[in-house]
Amino acid sequence: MEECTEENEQQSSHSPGTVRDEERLVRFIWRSDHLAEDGELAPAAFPVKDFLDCSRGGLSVARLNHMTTTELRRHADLIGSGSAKTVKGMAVAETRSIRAIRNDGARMFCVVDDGKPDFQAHAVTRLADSHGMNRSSVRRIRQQLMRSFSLQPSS
Amino acid sequence: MRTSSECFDTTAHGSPYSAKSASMTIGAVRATSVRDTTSYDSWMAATSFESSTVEKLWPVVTTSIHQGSDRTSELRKRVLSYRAEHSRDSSLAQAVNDALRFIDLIPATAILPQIALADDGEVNFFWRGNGLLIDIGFIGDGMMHYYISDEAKGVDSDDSIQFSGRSLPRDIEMAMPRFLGEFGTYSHGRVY
Repeated sequence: MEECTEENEQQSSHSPGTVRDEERLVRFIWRSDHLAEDGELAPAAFPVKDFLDCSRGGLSVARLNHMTTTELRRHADLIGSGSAKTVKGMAVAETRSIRAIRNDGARMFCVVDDGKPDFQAHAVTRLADSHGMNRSSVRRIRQQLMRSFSLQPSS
Repeated sequence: MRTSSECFDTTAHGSPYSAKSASMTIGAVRATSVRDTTSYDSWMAATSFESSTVEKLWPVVTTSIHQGSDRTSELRKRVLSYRAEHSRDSSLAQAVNDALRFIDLIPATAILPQIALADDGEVNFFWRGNGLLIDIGFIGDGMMHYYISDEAKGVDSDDSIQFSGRSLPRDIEMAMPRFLGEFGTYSHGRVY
């Protein structure tokens, strides 16, 4: 079965195009709960529901290669505005490493463009096949996904 | 008689952390940490010890319990703060209740987990380090969702089970990192 076919076709008219393997993806870390005591990423930074609930669309990431420093700062500020949110840092991964995650030969995650009118560099990471997945099995592959990301302090 | 495959039910004898006296607490420790070799009768005998006697016999355990109890309080505070911050979220309220019952079931000799509230309302507990990962979530659906990976023991399993609040799944209880031996050196939570 062909996997992640939507990666090959632009999904949003607001996007700058499909997500290439060499692109770097950013996930903003905006709560202390997203960080473990050792300063590394905590599982909570990657909510299980983002992968299982279709209405959430997938795990939101930003395409670093399509953002200026000013845009990056603006989105960090947007996330940080309201409530008690404060951006603690950024988790960065190369698209290729996410797409390389496999179990029993099958890809686990797709990375697709999902540009918004006010956030063209938005993309999502989704399960390649959600059939049979649940809140416990997603935890297993979430660990593999987390290993693709490295934490960079907020500047 | 309890079989080796059954979960150890701490609530049947009272939570170690809600025990009224030090001797009662130590009794629970003995029962939890050496349950495979200690009968219920000897557990009961242990609970009748005076606190000073117990401290002479098991000074390390006593010390760890006193420190561990404080850390449990912090865990509880964190969980309760989630409910306070999201008071209108009924699912989270249930998740918080389950999380509190889970904390009650953590063996007294176990190193305590880290805790976080995920953006999807899941109360998440995890232990991580030295090839071990235990990732447990409560979402307020009455279930405990978990994944265990222990390279040293060759364990790699996940499951979602109905959470009774009376016992832990055997695989979780066995995987939890412990203080360095019952009579060993207490290491403040970072042995793994």
